[in-house]
Amino acid sequence: MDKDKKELSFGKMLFRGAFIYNPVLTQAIGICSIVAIFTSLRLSLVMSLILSVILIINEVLASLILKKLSRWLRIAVYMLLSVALLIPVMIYIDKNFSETYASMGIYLPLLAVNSLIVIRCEKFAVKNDVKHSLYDAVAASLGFIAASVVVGAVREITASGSLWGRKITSLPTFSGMALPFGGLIVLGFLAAFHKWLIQKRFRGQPTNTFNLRTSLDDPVFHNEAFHSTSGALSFIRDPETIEEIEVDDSAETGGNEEQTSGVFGDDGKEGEEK
Amino acid sequence: MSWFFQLLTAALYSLLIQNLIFSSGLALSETIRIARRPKFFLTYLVTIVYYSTVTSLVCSLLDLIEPIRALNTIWHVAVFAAVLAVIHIISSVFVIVVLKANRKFMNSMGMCAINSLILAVPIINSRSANTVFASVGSGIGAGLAFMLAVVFINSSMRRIAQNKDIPKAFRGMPAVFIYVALLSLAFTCLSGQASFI
Repeated sequence: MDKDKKELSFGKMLFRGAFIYNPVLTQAIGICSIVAIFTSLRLSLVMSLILSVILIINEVLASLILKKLSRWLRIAVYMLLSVALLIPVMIYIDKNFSETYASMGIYLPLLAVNSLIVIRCEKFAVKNDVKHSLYDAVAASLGFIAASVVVGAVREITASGSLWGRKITSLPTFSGMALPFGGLIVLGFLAAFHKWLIQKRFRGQPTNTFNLRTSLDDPVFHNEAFHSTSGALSFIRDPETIEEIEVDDSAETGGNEEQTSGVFGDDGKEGEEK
Repeated sequence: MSWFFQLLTAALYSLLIQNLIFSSGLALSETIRIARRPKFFLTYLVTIVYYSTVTSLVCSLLDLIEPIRALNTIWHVAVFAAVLAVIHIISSVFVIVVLKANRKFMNSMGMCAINSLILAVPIINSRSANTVFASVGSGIGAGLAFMLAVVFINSSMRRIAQNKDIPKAFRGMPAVFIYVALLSLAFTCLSGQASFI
């Protein structure tokens, strides 16, 4: 128990949730708005901060009062709660920063149905106490903000030659980077860099959740420290049972996260730095 | 027959020309996640098309009511989100009580119901002042577009998993991102936004 508590300390949760298991780069969670609208540093920062506040409130409330509801009902509650939180924000931005509001288009209200909220609430908050849910929300938010800001900055520089609205280079620009495919290209390279960095610095950590079955060979599945704190998957010992466990996990979560995010993305996200 | 052509045109437009997943990035996270579960494609297809069509229909009917049509975007979104929540709850209760669905199916319904695509379609319909039939067509088209994207991404994942020439750092997720980027570029060009090239 002490060991588990130690594993779930804020520092470790923050490091793992925000960096090692970055929700955007390792699990492709919440990439809709990043790809579509995060075309500048300012916009990325503002929208990811708004999403972070919504995520934190949702996770805390999910952990506090929503545990007893059925999952299908909780999902609707997350959306309604997020919309309720977004309405005053939208009114404020519309009144005071109408240009920014216009540039956000329909993607600002769509933050209410961002998959990051549902996944973190369902995979962590409803299974854990308030304190750890808050830690998890902060970690996931910081990971999301970091990825968003980098993507937004790169796209702003490459698409318009400016940063935070100021011209910084006279090199040729490529306006297509402001389109969704530009965002995906930047995300692809960023995810590759992130993976390379982690493989180099923390050998054995999982960094890839979309290599289909090959990701099951990841050493994290065989890591005792991981199994000791991973909640629903804590009974796994034999690698041969992983296939079965995946099915069980998907059944529980209804595919609301990729097969491995239940492992990589929740409950303390384990694996040991080496 | 004009209603039928309105519906068909809107559906084809949403499916092929303005594929909301590739050209607007909507529900991309869900698409990538579902693409890893080919066993459940049919379930997801039926559920997503159901939600996108019914939500579009109900929201477009509501938009015929003057006080609702007069609302600004912010309150429109609130109304549409409430409609989506109500549709999800009613559908879930029906599926549990009448069809005796298992927990697995119920859970997948949640993801199909609450995602950015399902909420975006009625907002787009409202902004475009689509007729009821065109709204239904775009709902059907959006659902089919989602599954088209899932099939494309599933196919790419299989190829990527088998390709040994991909540099180690790019294997898996980064390669999927870049593959989807190329598909997105293709669909963006189909929608007519090719001037940047």
